[in-house]
Amino acid sequence: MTKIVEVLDKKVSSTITNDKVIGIDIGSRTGKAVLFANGKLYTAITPTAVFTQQTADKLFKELLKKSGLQKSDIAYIVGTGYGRVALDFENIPHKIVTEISCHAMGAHALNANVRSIVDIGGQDSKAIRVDTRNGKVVEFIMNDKCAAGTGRFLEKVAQLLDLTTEELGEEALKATNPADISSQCVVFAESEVISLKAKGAKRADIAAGIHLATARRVKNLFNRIGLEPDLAFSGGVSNNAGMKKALEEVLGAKFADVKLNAIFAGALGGAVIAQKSIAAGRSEEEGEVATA
Amino acid sequence: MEIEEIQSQRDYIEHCKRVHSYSEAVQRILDLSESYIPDAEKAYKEGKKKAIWASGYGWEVPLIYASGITPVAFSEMGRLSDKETMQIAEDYYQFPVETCSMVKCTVGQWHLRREATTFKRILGNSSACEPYNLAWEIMKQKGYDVYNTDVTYRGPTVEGKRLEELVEFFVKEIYDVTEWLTGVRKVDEDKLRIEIQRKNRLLIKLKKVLELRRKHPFYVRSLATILMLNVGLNNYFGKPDEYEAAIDLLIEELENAPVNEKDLKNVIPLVWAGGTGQEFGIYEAIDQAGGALLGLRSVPFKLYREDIPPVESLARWVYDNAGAGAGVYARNVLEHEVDKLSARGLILYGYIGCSFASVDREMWRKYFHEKGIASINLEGSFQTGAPTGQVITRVKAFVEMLA
Repeated sequence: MTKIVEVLDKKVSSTITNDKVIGIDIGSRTGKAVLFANGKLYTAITPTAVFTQQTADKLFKELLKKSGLQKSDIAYIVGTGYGRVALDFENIPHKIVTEISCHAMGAHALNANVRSIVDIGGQDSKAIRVDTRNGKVVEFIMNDKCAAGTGRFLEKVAQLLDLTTEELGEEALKATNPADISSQCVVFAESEVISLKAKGAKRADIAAGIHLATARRVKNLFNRIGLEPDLAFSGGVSNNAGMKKALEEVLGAKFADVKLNAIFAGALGGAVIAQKSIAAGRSEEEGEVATA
Repeated sequence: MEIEEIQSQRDYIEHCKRVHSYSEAVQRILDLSESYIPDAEKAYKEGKKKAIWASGYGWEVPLIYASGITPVAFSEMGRLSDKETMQIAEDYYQFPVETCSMVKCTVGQWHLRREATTFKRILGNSSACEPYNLAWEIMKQKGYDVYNTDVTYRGPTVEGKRLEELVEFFVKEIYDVTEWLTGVRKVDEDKLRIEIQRKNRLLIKLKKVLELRRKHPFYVRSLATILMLNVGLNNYFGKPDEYEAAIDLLIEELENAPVNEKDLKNVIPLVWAGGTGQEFGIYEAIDQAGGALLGLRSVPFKLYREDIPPVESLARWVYDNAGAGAGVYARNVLEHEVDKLSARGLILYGYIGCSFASVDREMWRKYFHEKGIASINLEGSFQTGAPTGQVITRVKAFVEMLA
């Protein structure tokens, strides 16, 4: 738990009301949730289960436990992520928003100067351009054609190098001569990594080569929509130090500082959108009353 | 019903019928769409109708009807099929996986019909599409009677004498097709004139429907709009009179429907630049996200001329419309639609494996981007059930972005 004003950009934190809202982001690998209540921000995280509603319920309960709130206290929920489609929150007003809009809003909430976002999740990678005035998406592009450039790709490579996913990024930071990985397909990259191992390439150099190859893939996405600083990194892979370094090197831009683990960016954006939805509902009601 | 629960195109049509329970006209249009192929095959089998497979979307439709034959769009045969047909093309005929999914699906369907009692004549239209050329050649070997017209392509700057030469060339092509259709190199001009008048009448009526939809953006939802326009207007689902009656009823319904000001305030006008595809969930995703396909590349743009001989009228219509050849002609239609509707976005949709159309899409994207119109480039399949989560995410995020 932390104070909202200490985490969010002043421009956004000043708009947060007392409405208790939740953003739930069910990703392909991990479920994340953020609660705003009484000026505080609570987070919860858990691996995504087979049935996404179970994951959402687990996150929801954990947030209630941490905050001491009751279910009936929650005014609005926004669900997002790949598991969003199956979400349902009985008796609580809710809506489903895509993770693209939520990540944009989340990054904006953390740093309102962010104009470009790299979002690498378990299943795909995205480049998103954001409107600094309101956190809305200006343009986006997704790579989901194959596993390359995704968290799943990095997981596979970590296995080949006998590392955990967390260790892969740290290992890459030790590289002195990053390997040249030409293939972007998981299947072919696997062969390439095996060949490099057979030739005696250092594990750290292979790890760095893989991260650079993935970063080049992300750069191609930005070549299409344009990259404008400030730049943010969100999604599950954002905690990978090796990936962060590779992206900064290849994109030629530093990531903006944020005060919350960026894996929560989608859920955070969901919570901000939940607040906005309540406000929009109120102004619509007021408009209707005024018209009547 | 959630998009993800739907697993077949027929499910989507049933869902679409339920959504439009208030509209007898839309029900009729969807019924016509569903019964198009089975009714044509049944009537042929019973000796009641002559029929051929054709692309069924352009100049050839009035000509085929005027020859006393029903054009049956082979793309519609593939559209309502399943994954099995795709596997036939890939496994039996060894089509590469990356080949256009629409063509593979159609090949699979023809394969399944090769020994059935149904019509075995195929009118191919344009040799510009290499996968279809391949498909038609294979079907010839399987005993189908295939006739393929030569490519009709008007370059971006072709005018004057060169254009007249193209028209002259195409008039000859039309007579060649007539000879293949009927056995004689003579067009029944009176009947063709009647078909041209019918087409023009329907083009005007569909323009009227699209105008009325601007006041009622959600009355005819996206899938029904696409089927009514991209398929129905082209070939009338093999039943011209019934189709026209359904459109007349729709006009009446739209004219009498009360205008919902809230809808007009909330609607996100979109222009659809693509074919029909088979991932009908994309249309559902657009609807659920608050978008409305109010402009289309296939919008009735220009009428057939009635002041010149009917065969020449067919030829001139081809070179004067969106499908004339160069991508700029389709782009002009899109631009007209975008400006007319003050559209907020453009959905560029094509089939997986169609490198031909992907070039046009990329050029349009760039052009409209420079005009400040956002677009999304989607590659859809032609053979599977529900669309992938990623495609739905793209569509919804795009509409959210424009909201």
